[in-house]
Formats: sequence, structure tokens, C-alpha cells
Amino acid sequence: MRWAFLPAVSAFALAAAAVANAAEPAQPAATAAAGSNLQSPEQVSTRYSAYTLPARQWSMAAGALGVGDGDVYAVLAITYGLGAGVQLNMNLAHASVGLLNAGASWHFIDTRYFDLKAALGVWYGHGDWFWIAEPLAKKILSKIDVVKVPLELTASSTPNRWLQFDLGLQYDYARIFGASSQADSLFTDNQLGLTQVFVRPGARLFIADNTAFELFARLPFYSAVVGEGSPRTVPFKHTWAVEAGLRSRFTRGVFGNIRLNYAPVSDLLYGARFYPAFEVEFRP
Amino acid sequence: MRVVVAFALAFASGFGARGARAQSAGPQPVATAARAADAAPRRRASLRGFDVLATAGWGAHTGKIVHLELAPYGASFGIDLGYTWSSGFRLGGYFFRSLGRSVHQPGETPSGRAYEFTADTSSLNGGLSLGWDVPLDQLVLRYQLGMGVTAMAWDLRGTSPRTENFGDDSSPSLGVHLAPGVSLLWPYGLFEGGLGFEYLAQIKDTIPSGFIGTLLVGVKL
Repeated sequence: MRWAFLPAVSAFALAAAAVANAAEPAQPAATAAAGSNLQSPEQVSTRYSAYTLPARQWSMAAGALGVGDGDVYAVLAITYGLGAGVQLNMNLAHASVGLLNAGASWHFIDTRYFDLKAALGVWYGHGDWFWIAEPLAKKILSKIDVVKVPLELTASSTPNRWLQFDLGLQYDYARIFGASSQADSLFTDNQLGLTQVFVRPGARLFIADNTAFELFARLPFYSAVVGEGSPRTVPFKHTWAVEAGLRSRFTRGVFGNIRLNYAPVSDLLYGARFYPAFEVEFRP
Repeated sequence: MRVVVAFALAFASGFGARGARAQSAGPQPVATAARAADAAPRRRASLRGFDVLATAGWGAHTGKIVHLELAPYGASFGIDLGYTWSSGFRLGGYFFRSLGRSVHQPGETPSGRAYEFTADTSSLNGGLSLGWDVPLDQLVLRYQLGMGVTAMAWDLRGTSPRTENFGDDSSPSLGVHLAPGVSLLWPYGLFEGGLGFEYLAQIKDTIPSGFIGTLLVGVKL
């Protein structure tokens, strides 16, 4: 399981090599006039913010070592902006190991100082498809199914050009079918099978046109494993998380992100509470 | 602490450049766009080149091997070299030695008998790195992802490897690591120096992951 991030690392290496010789092209006048910083619609981070991609904009992200349920182990995500503030996304890295997932987001309040986004996802995992698990784990998982539906409401506020505040409220419905207590733990350890309600406050400090410092916390006030029997609650001390990171525009259409997480779940996933994560995003 | 200083430096340098940034929703003045266009060639010229950096720092392990505490990092020194293209993309290599330290710790046999032992470890780390240099006014923010090998020398005194979940492994233990990191560099003529960190995410179960804060000094040609 610890090798699960290799496809994402390979994608990062190939993509990085492909753009190695590409000097930053001159920006068209129209783009420059529309703003060329990390708060502009073409460059704004859609992760944990109220923003979505502009119409007909593709995004591909490759990363690894994440601890959030959407980017745990590896990310190879593809996102498309449909227009009217709507975007669709899927993490192919999770799908490739048997965890099908898809999500949609709608940026429905778009004002100068305040923005709001609603997001809905659907996850389905079938134990038999989980080919990357070790033989013993695969045998345990073979008879179970997990369904997860995350519902998210995220607000963002940009009081000035160097600061942005974000606040997310998320409800994750998760249900594990046909699970033994051992299988329960395999899905709940990484929080994929955890029913949860949490808030995610955060702030971004734009320290330059091309770089932002980001700080987020995940603060659950209800976490439980919902299986065949009665729900079993999981205490806060096992589910909270904080992260600090940097996001930069490497060159036009290429963004990098490195984060340091401190989270109890990281101990279970990677053997250390304090752990890094990284991601490269391409917006052609 | 070094990371905090690096962030503070980046923050301070960012304020100098902030005048060129547009509001998120508002149009950017033509003069600002022109200044950004003027700055682009100067920025590209400063990124391209071959650099050789001596590294020195301190590393700490971030996890245990079940109940066993190993400290194979500690004082660390080595070399980091690479070539940066004008786009900012950098291909490099790194090698460093960590002196590690001894950790005296308690143990317990399956039958419940308590004992004490000492685990003495150190490590050699090396590999290739992909990176990207991002200009921050007078400074350069370097994102880096290393992929390499760790050789951890170990000596368990007062216990046996099998008792401590090392199985039949012998010293040194070899393992693959991923090492994401960030450095904030100050290029000044041929000189280049700065502060940074890297996190060695170890794949092998018997080598603990570690966080290493680093001082970098060298030349850029």
C-alpha cells in the first residue's frame, strides 16, 4: 500500500520533464489585463476554497502522500469547468485501485468579497477490486462494499489582495456493507469509511504574485463508523488535522503545492503524525 | 524554526513585489502588465544555470518502528547539485551523511520481563531530484522532490534484531525514500545560499521517516 503513490510520482516526473524546456511564454494582452496572480480565476486554487474552474478549463493534478480522504496516498485528479461556476472532478489514482469516485462543485455566490460553493461527491469501493492490498487484507476486504457521499459547503472571503479566508462545512455519509471488525478498521483507519461532520477553517497569505502560504485545520465534531451494527463513534483526538503549505505558479499553467500535515490519521497511514504531501497541477 | 525564518523572509520579500499584483476580480492596469512583462526576461536569466551547494543541517525522526525508537538523522552534511532551465525546472542530485545518535530505551519481552537497550543508528542518503525554481523578488523559492536510497547503519546493544522486529535484516538497512522539500535561496552573483527543509518519507518499514532542516551555501554558474 505504501507504493500506491508511484503512479502519481511517475506522472509528476513525466509531466515535469515535458515542460522543462518550455520557457514561460509571453502572456497575451487580454490575459495580462485580466490579472495574473494566484487570485485570478484562471489560477485560483480550487482546493478547500469556494472557487471552481472557469468554463472549458481542464485541470490535471498529480500528487502523493496526502491525508485528506480525497487525496489519501495518491492523487491523479482530472477536473473540468463546465461554466456557470460548475466543475466536475475525479481522482483517477483512487479509481485505478478500485475506489470509484466522482464529484461536482457549484460556485453559486460570486461577489467581490464573498464567495460560496456547494460540492457533492459519490464514492464506491468494492473489496474485490482493491487489487493493491496485501493478500491478507485483500482476503478480508473481498466481501465488503463501502459507499461514501461527501456534501460540502465552502465560503471564501478575500478582504484584500494578499489575504484570503476559507471556511468549509462538510458532512460525509459513509456506510460499510458486509464488514467484519478487521475490514472496518482498514477503511476507517484512512477515514474513507468514516461518517463525519467537520469544519475546515483556513487562510491563505499571498506573499507574492506567484506564491501563497496556506494554513488549514480539519476539526470534526462527529465521527463514527456506520456498518452492520450500531454506529461506533471515533473520538476527536483521532480525527483532527492541521496542515501548512506553499502553493506557487511554476510557469504559465503549471502550479506546485507542498504541504506539511500533522494528523493522527497520518500515523496510521504512514507511520508518523507529521508528514509531507505534494501536488503538481496543470491547467492547459 | 528555520522554516519559520524562511517563510518570514519570503513574506518580507513578497511585500516588496506586491505593488505589481492586481485584485482578484478587478482588471489589471496596463502599466502593471507592462511592468510584469519587463520583469519576465530578467527573471528567466537569473534562474538558468548549474549550481553546486554544500548542505549542513539537523534532522529528526518523526516516527517509531512499532515501539522501537531510532534516530538515524541528527547532524547532517552533504552536497546538492543540479541544472536549472530558464523555465525554472531543475534536475539535480543530492547526497548527505547523517551522524544520527544513540537512543537508550526500555523494552519488554513477550513474557513481560522489562529490560533496557541502546539503539545506535546513522544514515547515508542520496538520489535524484526534480525541482522548480520560483522567483520571489530577489530570492528564489525552490520546490524539490527527491527520489533516492537510504542506507541506515544500526547497532542494537542489549537486545537482538529479531526481538525488535528487524527480522533477519542486517546492518545497514537499505530502503527507498521520497523527499519533498522547499528551500528559500538568495542568489548574489556567483554566490547562492539559503535555508530549507526536506522530509525523507521512508518506504521501508524498518527505517523511520525524518524531517531535516538545512543551510545551503554554494555557487551558481
